[in-house]
Formats: sequence, structure tokens, C-alpha cells
Amino acid sequence: MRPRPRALIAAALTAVLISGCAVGTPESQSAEGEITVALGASPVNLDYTSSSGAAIPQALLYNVYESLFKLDANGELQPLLAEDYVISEDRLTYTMYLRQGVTFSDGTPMDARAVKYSLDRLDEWTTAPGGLLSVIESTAIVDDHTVNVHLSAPDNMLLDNLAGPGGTVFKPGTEGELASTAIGTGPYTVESYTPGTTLRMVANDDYWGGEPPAERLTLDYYADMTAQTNALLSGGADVGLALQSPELLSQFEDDPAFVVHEGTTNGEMVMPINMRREPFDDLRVRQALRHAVDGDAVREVAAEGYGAPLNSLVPPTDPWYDDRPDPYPYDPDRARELLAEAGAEDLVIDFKVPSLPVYQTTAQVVASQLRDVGLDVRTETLEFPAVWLAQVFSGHDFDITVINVVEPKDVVQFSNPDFVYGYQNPEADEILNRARTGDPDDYVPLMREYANLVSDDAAAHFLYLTPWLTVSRADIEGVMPNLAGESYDMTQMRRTTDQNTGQDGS
Amino acid sequence: MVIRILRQLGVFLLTALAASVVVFTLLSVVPGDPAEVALGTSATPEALEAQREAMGLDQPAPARYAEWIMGLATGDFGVSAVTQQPVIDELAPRLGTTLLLVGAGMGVALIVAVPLGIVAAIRHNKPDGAFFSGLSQLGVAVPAFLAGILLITVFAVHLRWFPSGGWVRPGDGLGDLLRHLALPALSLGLVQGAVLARYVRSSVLDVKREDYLRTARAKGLSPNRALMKHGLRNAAIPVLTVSAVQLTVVLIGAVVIERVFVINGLGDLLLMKIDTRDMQSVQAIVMVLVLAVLLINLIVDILYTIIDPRLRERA
Repeated sequence: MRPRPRALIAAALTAVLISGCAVGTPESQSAEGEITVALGASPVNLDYTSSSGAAIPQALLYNVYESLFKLDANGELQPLLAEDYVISEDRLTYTMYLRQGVTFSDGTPMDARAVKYSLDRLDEWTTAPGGLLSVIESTAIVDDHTVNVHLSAPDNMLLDNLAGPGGTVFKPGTEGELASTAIGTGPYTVESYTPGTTLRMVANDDYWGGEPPAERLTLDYYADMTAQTNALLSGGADVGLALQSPELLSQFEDDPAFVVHEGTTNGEMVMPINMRREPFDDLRVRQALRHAVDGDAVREVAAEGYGAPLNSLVPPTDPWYDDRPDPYPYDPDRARELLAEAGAEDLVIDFKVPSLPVYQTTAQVVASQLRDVGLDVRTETLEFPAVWLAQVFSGHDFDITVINVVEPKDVVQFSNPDFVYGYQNPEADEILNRARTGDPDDYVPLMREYANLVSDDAAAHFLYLTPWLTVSRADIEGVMPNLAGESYDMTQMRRTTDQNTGQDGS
Repeated sequence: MVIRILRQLGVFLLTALAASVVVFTLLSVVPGDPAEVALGTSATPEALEAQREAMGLDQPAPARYAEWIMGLATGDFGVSAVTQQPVIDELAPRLGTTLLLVGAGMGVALIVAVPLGIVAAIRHNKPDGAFFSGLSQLGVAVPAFLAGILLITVFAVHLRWFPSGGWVRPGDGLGDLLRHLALPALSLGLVQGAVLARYVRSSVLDVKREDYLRTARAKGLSPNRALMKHGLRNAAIPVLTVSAVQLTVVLIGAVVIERVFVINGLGDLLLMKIDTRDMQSVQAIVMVLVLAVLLINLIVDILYTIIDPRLRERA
């Protein structure tokens, strides 16, 4: 019998279909001074200037790389590499005073030259943080530890954005090597990264902030959630982050060897409604979809009741969060009325669902509730991310979809008409523009107004705020409960005793 | 014989070349844009353009194929546009893991199949022979991943004799490696062993009816001795052919089994790379699998000539 390459590929693709979930393999057992962290989705490489994916900055920002400012666990802005700043009268020049005596992990000093190099390179970024800082027109070195940042227009979001990946200070001349090496000023340095499997960090003994609390951090990536919890149970991991399956948490809750942390993220599970298509350009139809789907019921099924309700794209950790009641609470009768008014009772809905398990469960509840109000919902599963991005995100070929949007302050995405929502409202754009460029005192109230207007326009259904669930062994302290920004801050994590309580096993 | 082997080598190279075209073409029509996946939901049209250029996707397909195949010819798998690491660095350690798994799986298959098949053939009209035959029929019906899940449920979750998954590198302790290897090797091997046993059985039954066996028995050998002495070598030829096919099935089965048992092998890497549309890596892995299958067939073809002198004379 002759080999058949096509049969081979078919078999490989069948394998993809059969295995619903990806996996990585645990490699490490914690030694003394070492903390092993089990995570889910893995970074594709180490370069967040050219590769998207929350996993890269989550692992590297603040831990390996440092930015000019930092968002703490409560979402408050703190100084980091910039100790202080002065804003000019016209709000177009920010003078940054840099922390002195800071070096990169290879010994190169972190100075004004490095900051200028990093900020000047922002327009070469292909990922979002570069675009968020496009307001920076030029930078100028004042002296070794002072930099002037000139803006093309005032921007009240500048400092927040400089606390994210965009504010990272890179070692000058490293732009070609970022995918595989990470030379930062943070408390840990990257020793090695095996893509999809293990990221090993070691303490940076010359760290400006003093000796890091752990000698080593080993990040093991598990795309399979059962394997991730098994690693914790068998002692293969000390901390399990971002547990994707809340139903597996119960086995830790009654066990004194573990602590369960229930925190928040800025990941919002949303149901974008494609306003480019009829009849979804009709506000009444979108309102009906909001009334028809009960976010709490979705959260109960998809997140086991963890997380929090939402009624706009603003998490409670953002300053412009508004705890007003939902403008479109769950009300199937009202949904039917609105659909009748709009003449859309016989609507057939093209529901494109990403292939990950959490979206599948979310979609089941959403679809069944939409069917309850008489809509004909046709769900179609698309491979995530590749096919979903091509068809839904770029191709705009959908009526509704579900997606967890994780970027901080992502409500501004509604101002981009090419974004998945296709939302266009000149009044909203005007409010956002005033918020960003106007009087800083009006910034927070105007942002609140903007987020509420977008929600009133029913540009999407805001289903729930995704939880950030962490399990740690009882001897680990300094575990951050929340994911407030784009970084997961592991700089305080330490073992209280030298004893390694993990047992052998896998 | 040399000419025969050279001819087979030529067929091997041509098939490999044809396979590379198929692999490249199929992968270029897979939906999803690698640049889009790299940038995710933050992509702007300008950024996508820049990313495509950086990844070399702006080149026409024939140019990309030519570059790839020229690299392959010199043993260079290229650099992944996604991880920006040489593809071979990620591929090589995982290939070792998968080969070990496949070897162990095939070992189990042979250990199961040969005795089971021979017994089923010798006693084909007796109840126990029929039982073994039925057992192999049952095994044929169970796919490897299901066998894996069943084995995990029984031996890892309930009895806790073996770990439910994971892997230990050979350098880190042989005993531990064997414990991790046991269940995946069994899931791959039992099913293929059952399939193979049926071929062994029918092949042995065939030779039992041959004239030369009757002659051997006429010389005074007992039926079983005659079979052992003169029959099995002849029965081995069709079994060898099927084993080669089975080996390729085990290789592909390993892709799935690695997922089930959380093993860091080539299959696991392949699925990860498909997710991120890391086409250089996917091409390389699929091509390695194709080459492995072709190589197995080449070796089997050469083995025929060694086992069966008749083929030597014909060539």
C-alpha cells in the first residue's frame, strides 16, 4: 500500500477536531526558592511589540520589563521607571524625571536615551499599545535622567497608556531580538522559553528595588484545564493562575493546603451585534437582543457564577465605572414587543461562535434565550483564533458573536468603525474626543458618559465580567488577586518557609 | 538488487517532492491569515500590511515554495515567522519523544499481534481460537484515543497505578519514563495489535494450506513444527506489509494520543502550530511525518528483497 499524504493531513486535521483542547506539559517540580506557576494560554513568543495575545505582557510586564508607570492591583496609577512628571501649561509636553541607578539586566544603564529609543519606536509596533500612544509626536533628551515627551494633542489617557506595555523601556538596539530574548529592568530575567510549554525566570540580583523575593519563577503553560488543576493537586505547581474552568475550583476550596483567590479582570464577555447589517442597524432590534439575553444566567453557566454582572464595557476597577441599573434588563416580553415593533419577529440570526469551550457554553445559553423570544438562531462554530479573526473580526461576516475583550480601557474601541461592532455615532465620538483632549477634570465624567451612551445604543450585549481565579498553595504569599492591567504582577510572590511542601508526582 | 533499491530510492524522492507540493498547497488554502492571528483583535490594516511583510507573506506562493524546498533540500527548515526561532530547534526534541512513543506503541502491537494471531490461526476451528479472533475484532473497533481515555479512567483515575499524563525525558529517570510511557503505548499498541493479529491469523491460515507444508508434514513433521519451521517465514511477508501500514497509523495515532496524555511530542506541537498558523512549523512537521511514512515504506520494500529471495531474482 502506498502512503497517502492527503490521508495524513486529513488524519492530522481530524486530530484537531477530536481534541477539543490544547495541552502543554509540566516539566518542573519546584525546588527551594523556586515558585512554579501553572497558567493557561501561552505566549507565542516574547515580543509584545509585534505579537498579540494577552499572555505575553501578562508574563513579562513588571516582572521582566518595566514601564514608565504602573497600574497596581486596584487599577491605580503608580510611578515605576518615571519617578515624577510635570505637565506643561498647554498639556502638550510631559517632562519625565527618571529613576536613577537603574540598569538593564545585562548591566546597561537605563537612562533618557533608552526612554527616547523606546518611545520613538512605538510607531513600529504592530500591536495595539503602539497605536494607543500615537499621540506622542516626538521626544527629546533633556539630560541623562530627564525626557520631554511632546504630544500632537492633549491626551488624558497618556499616563494610563504609559503604564501598559506601550510604556515599556527597552534596551536600545534590541529591536531585532525581542521575540526570543527579553532584557528589561525588572526583578526577574528570562532564562529560557520553550514556546507553549515553560517560561523560566531567574531573579535579577542587581534589581534596583532590592533582592527579588523568589530565586526562580517557573511558568508552566497548560492549554488543558484538567492538566492545570492536576498539576496543583499533585504538587507540580505552587500557583494556578486564570483557572479557566471554575467547576474545578471546588476541590481546592475545602483543602487547607490551598488558598482560593477570587479576583477581577478587565476581561468583558461581550456579544457584539453587527450594526452594519440589517435589521441590526435598527436600535429596537438591538435593544430586543439586550432584553432577551440574561447576562447572569450566562455567567451562571459559563463561569459557575463567578465574575460580576456588567452593563457597559467598563469593569469596576476603571475610574469611570458607573453602577447604574442596566438600561435593558432581562425581559423577554419586552424583547418580543420590540421585535414586533421593528417587524423582525421572523429574524434569522447568524451566530458565529469561537471554538474555545467558554465561548461554546456561553453561546448555548445565549442561543437558547434568543430562541425563547422566537428568533431563529443558527450557530456556527469557527476555529479560534484564526478563522474567527478572518471571518468575524476582519470579514464582518456575522450577525452576532461572543468574545472576551481583555484590553484595559477597551471601551474606546467603539470609536473605531472598522472594529468588530461597526458602531458609528458622531455624538459619542465627540464625547470621547472631549474626554481625551479636554479639561482633565472632565475626563472621568465624560468617559462615563461615553460608556453609558454606547451601552444605551445597544452596540453590544455586555454579558459579564470574567473572573480571575487563582489557587495557591498555603505557603505562598504575595499572590495578586486581580488582573487590573495587562501585566500579571508576580513581583511580590514568595514562599513563607524554605520547606517545599509539594510532593512528587505529576 | 542494487538497481531495484536505486529505483525505490528514486520513487522515494519523487514522492517526497510531490508530497511537498501537496502539503504546501493545502496549507496555503487553509483559512486564516497568519499575520491576523499574530496581531489578534488589535490589528489595523496598516499594521497587518507591515506584519505580512515581516512574515514574508507578501511574497507570491511559488517564490515561498521555492525558498522552502531549497531550504529543505539542504536540511534547513527555516525560521518560524511566529516564534522567530529556527523551526528545527522546536521540532527536534519533540521528534525524539514521538519516535519513542511510536516505537513503544509498535512494540506493544507486535507483542500482542504475533502470538494472538498464530494461536487464533492454529486453533481457528476451536472455541478458544474463535475467542481470540473475536477479541481482535473488538480491538479493531476501538479507536486509539478512546482506548487512551478508557485506560486513563481505569488505571490512572481509579487504580492510580500510572500517571494520567505528562512526560519525563529519558535523561530524568528511566523508571519514571516507563510509568509515563505505559498507558499511551498501550493505547496505541493494543488497537493496532488487534488489527495486526487479524492479518497474522489469515496469513498463517493461508500458508497452512500450501503444498510445501503438506510436503513438510509428509516428511514426518508435526503440523505445528512444520508451521514453525517452514510456514512462518512465508507468512511474515504480508504481515510485514501490514506492519508498515500500521506503523504509519501508529505515527498518526500518536498525534492524537499526545493530546490525550499531555505529551510534548510532535503531534502536540503540530496542533499548537496550527492554532497560531505558524505555517513554517506546520509545513516542517507535516513534511517530517510524510518523510517518515515514505521512509518506512522504502525500508519495507528493501526488507522484502531480503526476506523473499524470489523478489531478488526477479529484479
